[in-house]
Amino acid sequence: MSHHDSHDHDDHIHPEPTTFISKYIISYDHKVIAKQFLFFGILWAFLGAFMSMLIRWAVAYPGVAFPVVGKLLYPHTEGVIPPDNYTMLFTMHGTIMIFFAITPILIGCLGNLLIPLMIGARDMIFPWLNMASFWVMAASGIVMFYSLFVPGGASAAGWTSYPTLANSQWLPGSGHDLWLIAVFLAGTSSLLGAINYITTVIRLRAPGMGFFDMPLSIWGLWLTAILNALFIPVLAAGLILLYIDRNFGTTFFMAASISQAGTQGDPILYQHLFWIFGHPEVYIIILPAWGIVSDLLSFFARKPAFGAKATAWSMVAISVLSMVVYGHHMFTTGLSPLLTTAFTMLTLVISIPSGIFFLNWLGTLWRGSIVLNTPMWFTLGTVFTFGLGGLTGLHLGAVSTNMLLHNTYFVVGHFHLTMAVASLLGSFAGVYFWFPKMFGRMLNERLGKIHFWMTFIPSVVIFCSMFILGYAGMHRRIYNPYEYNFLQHLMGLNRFISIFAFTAFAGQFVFLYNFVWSMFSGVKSPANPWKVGTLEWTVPSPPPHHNFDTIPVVYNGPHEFSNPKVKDRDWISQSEFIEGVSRQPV
Amino acid sequence: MTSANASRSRMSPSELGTWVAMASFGMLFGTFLLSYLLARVRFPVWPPIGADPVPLGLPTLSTGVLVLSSFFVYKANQCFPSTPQSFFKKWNFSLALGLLFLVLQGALWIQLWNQGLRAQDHIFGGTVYVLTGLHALHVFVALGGLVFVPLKLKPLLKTRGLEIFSKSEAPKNMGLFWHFLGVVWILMYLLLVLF
Repeated sequence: MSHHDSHDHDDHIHPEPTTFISKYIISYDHKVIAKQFLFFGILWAFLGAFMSMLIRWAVAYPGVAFPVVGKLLYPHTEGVIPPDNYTMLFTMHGTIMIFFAITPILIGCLGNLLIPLMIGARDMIFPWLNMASFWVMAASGIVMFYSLFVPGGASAAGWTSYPTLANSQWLPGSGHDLWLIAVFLAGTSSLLGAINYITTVIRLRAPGMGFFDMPLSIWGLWLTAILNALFIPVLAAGLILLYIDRNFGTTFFMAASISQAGTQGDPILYQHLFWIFGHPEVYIIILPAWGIVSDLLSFFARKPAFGAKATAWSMVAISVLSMVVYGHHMFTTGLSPLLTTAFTMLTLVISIPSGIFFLNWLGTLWRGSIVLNTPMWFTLGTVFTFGLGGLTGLHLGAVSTNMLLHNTYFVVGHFHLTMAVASLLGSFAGVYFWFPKMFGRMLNERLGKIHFWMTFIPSVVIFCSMFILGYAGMHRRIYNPYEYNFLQHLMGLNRFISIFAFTAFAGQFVFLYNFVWSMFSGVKSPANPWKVGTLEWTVPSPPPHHNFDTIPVVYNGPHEFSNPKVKDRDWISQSEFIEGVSRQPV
Repeated sequence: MTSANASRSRMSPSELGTWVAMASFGMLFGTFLLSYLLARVRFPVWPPIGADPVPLGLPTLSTGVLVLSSFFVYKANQCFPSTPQSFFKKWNFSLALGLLFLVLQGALWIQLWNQGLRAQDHIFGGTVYVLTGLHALHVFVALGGLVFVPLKLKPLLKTRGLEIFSKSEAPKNMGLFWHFLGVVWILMYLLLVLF
């Protein structure tokens, strides 16, 4: 069939599964798998966020017992967070948030939900692979969760897992081995998803939908999948070698000084492998958010996306550049000046495509009829925080300033604003926007706005204050900063940050309540509650098992708003043909 | 739309997926080989003093065996789907050669071990065992795929007939991946053994 049908579309509809297991557990349906990823991600996000509360408590109130549950968690120290546990906490917080919260929500959930629906397909092209992707992720989650409880504790080498910190001499115990296995499995899950996403976008676009007729959300997810397919294996190679080092006595990442004479492995080699993956990973996480933001700005400014093609090309350019800038994470490792100069230049070049799509976002807003609902607030929040994070990236991309700010809270502030806050707000924008399509009900607007302000303001305050901490010389990852004289005056600022952090955490319970309540009792959603034209809104909410009764034909772009030739409404569906407005059918 | 011929010449979805997967595995093995080269350039002499180089005989033989195996997969695919008997025969040949390759790699490990090479001793020992081992692991898994093809297609041909049989894309995709592992091995042979 696929050989003869020019669009590889499966014209017969697969029967709907009927048993509970086949419908909700071992499901091949991309919409169900999206929900599985969403629930998985939300669970982990709360655990990861709770860990950050413990971290903020330890930094703001060193030596003071953690309130309420402290004595339960740390009976041996009367509720005070001990130093070794602090190290595990920031390690696991980073790992969980990146691999188990943002990746499943933004890529696993929204990728799965949106790709088939927005390109007019009945499902992913390899449904079995899609199901495997979730269950490998679930296995990874089980291993990672188990690693929290093994003797010796969870991994404590930082989310980057650098040797020599991660060598078995300094980090014995199975916690880190399990960490390596879990991250390897999480990577495998992403890879299976990526193969599916890439192929589905290339092969299953509805008739008439060229690449530039795809919503920009799909562009972001597609580029993310390409980066995943290419760079997860590089991380996997590093993890495998590290695992073998730890368990079979090889010396790939062991410096000559600590291993037997003449073995001469190289811990810096791991850093190369990690960051060859790690820098694209930053874009893997933010690209889907950029795509979603680019679409939602247009949807709620009720205007065509300004320079949509240029935005797509900018995202392509950044994806390519992301492969050749990783050295800026390693400026202090003794790279040759020639390399540091080259990496600085390449890194700063990223500001050109970033500037292009950022201006396009502003151009989309310019003189738009802006609708300030919850998804739009989160979208604007993403734009704002990404702007802050992006600008401070310049200081870290340039080698001269990087040397001073390396490993300080300036870095923590920067990467949280970009890959944590911006991608999290982008995920929320997506969840609020597509929740009606997923569950057939609307999220509560008032609670949504409370959630937004309780997330947005604290996030900006927290991470902008961290720029001050970093500039004042406070290193990241230290247990009690006030043991150093020159950091003692920062306690006030640290407490200020922590109070905002606790507020942000509290705000997430507003979301949780809204999410659970609306799923069962929210206002029923019509097929197209936001009055936008992309294909997922042409089918009922939630869509039937097979998505589309007939595969749609695309005549219009995804951002056709306020066309003066259309009198009765301000939007046009991608699949409707309007004489004099739409392209001639192909 | 142009004629059906144009669409027929496009890659099928499963073949495209195979190419994406091969790009990923290429990055994996590329990373291993790059790491090996980076480690190697730091040494004034290679292999490091005290280590014997990898003997030429067995790896050369196994390279020949794997290339021949790839060749039979290629010939088998030329017979697919028109002459199923000849397809299965050639496919099984390449399967047997793939098994022989694994046996030869095992023999190489024994030889290296008897020669006194240990993975723990230095980066040379580590890379030789780990790189050949990881490649062999992939060959082992891919062999499972090679076995799967006749196991699935023979009953299919018997029960559903030639038309359904000929639609299977497994021979082509498995063949592609098998060639890919052959290319990875040739690179390893060149970098680890020959030079």
